[in-house]
Amino acid sequence: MKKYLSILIVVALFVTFLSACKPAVVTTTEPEKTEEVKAKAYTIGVSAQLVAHDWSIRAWEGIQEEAAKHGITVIQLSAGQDPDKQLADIESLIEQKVDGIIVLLAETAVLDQAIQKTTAAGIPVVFVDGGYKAAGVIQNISSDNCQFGEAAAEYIVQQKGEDAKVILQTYPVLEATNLRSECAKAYWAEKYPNVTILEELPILGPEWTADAQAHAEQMMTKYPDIDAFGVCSDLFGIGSSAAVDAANMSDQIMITGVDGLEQIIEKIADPKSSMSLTFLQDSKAMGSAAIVTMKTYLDAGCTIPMTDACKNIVPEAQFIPGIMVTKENAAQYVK
Amino acid sequence: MHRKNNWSSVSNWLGRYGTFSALLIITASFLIFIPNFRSFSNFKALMFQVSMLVIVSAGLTIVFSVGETDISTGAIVSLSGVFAAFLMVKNVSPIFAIVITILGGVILGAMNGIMIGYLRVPALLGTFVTSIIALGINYLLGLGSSIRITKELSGDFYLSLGGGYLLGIPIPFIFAVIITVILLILLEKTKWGLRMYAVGGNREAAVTFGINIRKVKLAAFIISGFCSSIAGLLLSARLGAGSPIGGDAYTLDAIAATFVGVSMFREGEPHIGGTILGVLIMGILVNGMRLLGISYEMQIILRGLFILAAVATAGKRALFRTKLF
Repeated sequence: MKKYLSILIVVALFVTFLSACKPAVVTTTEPEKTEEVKAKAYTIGVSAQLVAHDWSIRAWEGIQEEAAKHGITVIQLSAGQDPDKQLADIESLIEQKVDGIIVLLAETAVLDQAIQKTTAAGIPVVFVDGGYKAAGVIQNISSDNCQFGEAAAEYIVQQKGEDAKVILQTYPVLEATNLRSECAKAYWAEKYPNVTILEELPILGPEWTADAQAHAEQMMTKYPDIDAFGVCSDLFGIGSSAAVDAANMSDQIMITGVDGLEQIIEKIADPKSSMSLTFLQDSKAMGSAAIVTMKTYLDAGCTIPMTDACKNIVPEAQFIPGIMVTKENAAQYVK
Repeated sequence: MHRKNNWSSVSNWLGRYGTFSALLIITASFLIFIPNFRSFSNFKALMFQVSMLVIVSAGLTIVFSVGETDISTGAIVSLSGVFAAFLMVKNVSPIFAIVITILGGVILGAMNGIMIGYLRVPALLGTFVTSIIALGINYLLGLGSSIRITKELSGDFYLSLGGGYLLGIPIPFIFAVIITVILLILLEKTKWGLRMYAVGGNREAAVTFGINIRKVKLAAFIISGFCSSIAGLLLSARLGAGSPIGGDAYTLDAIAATFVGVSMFREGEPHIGGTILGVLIMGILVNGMRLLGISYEMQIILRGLFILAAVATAGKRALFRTKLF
């Protein structure tokens, strides 16, 4: 009986796939009425490291909406942060002979083999929120993450003085988050050498918020004179600010983050919260820009390898500005 | 009475060959309905994608055969990749890095075997401890980041282990075939294999027959550690980096694949051949779902249902044998 059940489950699942499954494919039968619509319909693959937090969800929305405007079919595959799976996803997109691939977040260290395959297949790649230079990557789109780190470093010094004592919560896995921490450290080392980094801890997840909270609680016990937590992602900020606020230490300790999550902006707008700064990244604009870049490149008849004529069709890098949200202006960004 | 007998024999046939039938149905349907599935390049990609899981699952089958389980496989896969990359960054030659890494996997497997075979620690607990230690070493070496393995560091040889071809066949697949054939012969055709099944099937009888239970279990876990380290090396060569989380999915996937293989050849007993079929079903399912563009969230749900089906298929005898339940 149990074996019957197993066969039935497997066959039922599989019939469900083929008949009723909803693939993560966005297609448009008719483009909206706009003069920019071109006759050729492209298929763009999106390989996402993860689509599970505000940033990536907004980026994906940007991709979908822009694709719909131009009659572009999008195939989305998400790897659940598994690099092996992301490589297999890219292989699958190559197999489906997409016209272009957008990589939405990825650990750059594991991209080499994937980009070799896309390059060999002649498929151009746009990389969102990372810096990866390779012949097959036509553009990197991101915020200026280094500038975020430096601005946060400066803000902490303005608020807490040139001898501030800081705890850093980092995420070295991703280029974007790593840049924020590294640039902050370099900024202090150069301009404010009396700033003390008491400790620097990578929060590796997957329970980022809970781990950041636990870490912050431990640090407050260990270092009674902390001035600030510099966190490279708002996900950490949710946890750290919960710890600091619960300990009634928001007058003493401030927290700076990046991403501009709604929950964090609400906290910044709350005068009692330790959360003091974030950078609202326009990830939706990044997603849109990725589609526009890819379309521009393909419309010009360009492919990979990139010929000399195609080198100037799109710039190598595109920075989408972020907005600095502090206690002074947070109210206008609360939804 | 006659109808009941006919129904019973059909039921027995389906029960015995149900999983294999499911594999055929799924593969045939994908071949018919998904044009990209039946391309040669997709077939080659599939061979790359399943090879590491085949190796890990084959090692785990040995552990299942002695009536134990191992949940440290994924952690050892991840650590092996990071460790090899770390060594090469420190200018250790690739060959030496491979040897040291395999030795590391064997040591971790031996640690499992000593805890479980000699100290009588429950396997779930013992291998969990090993996985935590492996995770800690992993993060110590790489600080949570992947360590890139460039051609300059490793030469063409190392990267070709994970991404190259020999006579048109993906190299990881060749490794998978060699290792599974060796383990199949070990388990099915040697006295060691008989002892392993005896220990897993009836501990008291094995003791009565003079089998050294502790040594047999130690050997099984060493083999599992060895297989996980090989898979980790191949994975890092395929990715071009040692990833601290690259092996995470292998723990559950290997358990699921091995459970699917239980009872396919002998009631309540794991079998390398059955394990391979289990890996193939999972690999083909995931490959097809990807080509269909099915969302990641749905893939997770379906993988969970697949594991449920695997557990339901295994039967009580197999579940108690592995002491997972």
